[in-house]
Amino acid sequence: MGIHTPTPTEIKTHPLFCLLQISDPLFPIGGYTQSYGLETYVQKGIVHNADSSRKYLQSYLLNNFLYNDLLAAKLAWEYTNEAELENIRCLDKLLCAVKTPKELRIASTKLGIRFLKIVESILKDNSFFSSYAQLVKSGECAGHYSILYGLVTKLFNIGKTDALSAVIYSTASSIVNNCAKLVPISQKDGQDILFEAHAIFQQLIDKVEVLNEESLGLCCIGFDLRAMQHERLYTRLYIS
Amino acid sequence: MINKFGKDSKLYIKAKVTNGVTMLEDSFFTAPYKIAKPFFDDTKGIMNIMVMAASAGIMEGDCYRINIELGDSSRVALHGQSYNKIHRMKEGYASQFNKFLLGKGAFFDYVQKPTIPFARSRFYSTSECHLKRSSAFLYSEVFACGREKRGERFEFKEYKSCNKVYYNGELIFLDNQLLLPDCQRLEGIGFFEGYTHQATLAFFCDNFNYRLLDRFYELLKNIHGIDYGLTTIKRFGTIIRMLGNSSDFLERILINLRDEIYNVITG
Repeated sequence: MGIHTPTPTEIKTHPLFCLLQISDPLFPIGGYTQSYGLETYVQKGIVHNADSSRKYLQSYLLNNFLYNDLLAAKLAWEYTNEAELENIRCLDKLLCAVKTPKELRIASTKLGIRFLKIVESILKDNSFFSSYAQLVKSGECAGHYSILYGLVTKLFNIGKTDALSAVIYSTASSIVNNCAKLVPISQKDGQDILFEAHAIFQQLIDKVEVLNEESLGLCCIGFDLRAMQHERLYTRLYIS
Repeated sequence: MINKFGKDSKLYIKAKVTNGVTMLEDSFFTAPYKIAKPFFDDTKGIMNIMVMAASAGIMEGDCYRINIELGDSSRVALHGQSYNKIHRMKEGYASQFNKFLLGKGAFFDYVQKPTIPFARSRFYSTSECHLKRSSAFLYSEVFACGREKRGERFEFKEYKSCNKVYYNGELIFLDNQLLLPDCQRLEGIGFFEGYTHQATLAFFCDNFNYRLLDRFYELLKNIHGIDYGLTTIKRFGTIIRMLGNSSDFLERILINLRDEIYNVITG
């Protein structure tokens, strides 16, 4: 379409500080209430110590996150860069169709809509942001977190690699924190796992760069099934 | 990519309702596909069609195309006759493309026999189903790690499947799976998690009866030796995923789950 030209925002912010703020696991959109199926793994005893926590993190990042939220964030950043609102709208529909487990789908839009509300006061004069916000408010789009993340980082003048690096790190950091609380593992073990994962972070950056919409939503039966089982867990600390 | 070995194998079925009964309006097939004379389930008003393949299985270079068109209110179940054995391949692959068009109020049940990918096989499958108001689509599939009884576990090269479901032109469900045993730890966390078989049942219908979910849970909770999860998609439908260690066992569970759905739509 190309009719909505995104313009850099005229606000007195620094891209790096914006990036640190919005990718902080404590950014108040409710990320800390979600385990994305990890809670099932812990209750079933599949993730039960530092070693299985490491394996969970690695498999989740390389087989699931890469083809889902990371790829969606990359595409949203690129579509915003090209001012392709129609592509953003299609991406939003596609994410609703590929996020099969109900709790993952709801988590994605719940976080997305809170994200939207927080950055709205800063970005309300940007036409591209407003157009997407309007689609979400009218119900035409669901407002997924990954889409808003890609869109907002681009509008904050944050480079694509930096934006993706930060979301990879904050996703991994949240998983390690959840493992520390749920499994539990020691904080030291958690940080060792995170240091060790740096090589995977780099792989994700390289891999996502060459992926397109065709790979979006590749599902892993185990992750899908455990996220579904979470809907009926007897005791739950997390929403997903 | 050009298919340099085989040729396309086609199956086309068109059904309509005449005097309240589903009839075969048109059909067409090329080798190795064959269809037997349809048999009717009068109590459920469903026309059952058995698809036979005069072949030892899926070979390198094969390309299968199934096209189904169901007129308004027609009810058809398409059954496979034998396991989908995907044979060893050299450097090529085999593929399948399915397209199902359902008229208003039509019901289509796509019952596939379990898929067994042999060592060094490559298979790509794409299906799309288009629904209209009050039409319903049910599909079920079982996927094995290989010829497990001879110790063949995840020795195939590649298996890719993509199932899309549209409702009045809008994509409502996309199931995208890519299995690459050479670069994924398929026995580990996130994939088969120690099991050798997976199964999926999906049912889409715009007047979906959510009480069905409780029936499914009742049925599944007493079954041992499998892990299962079920969920509802954003618009109209449910997905059940299972991990287990036997094709026959998972198939029997799928039959029981399908019976619950049949009871609701024909009851």
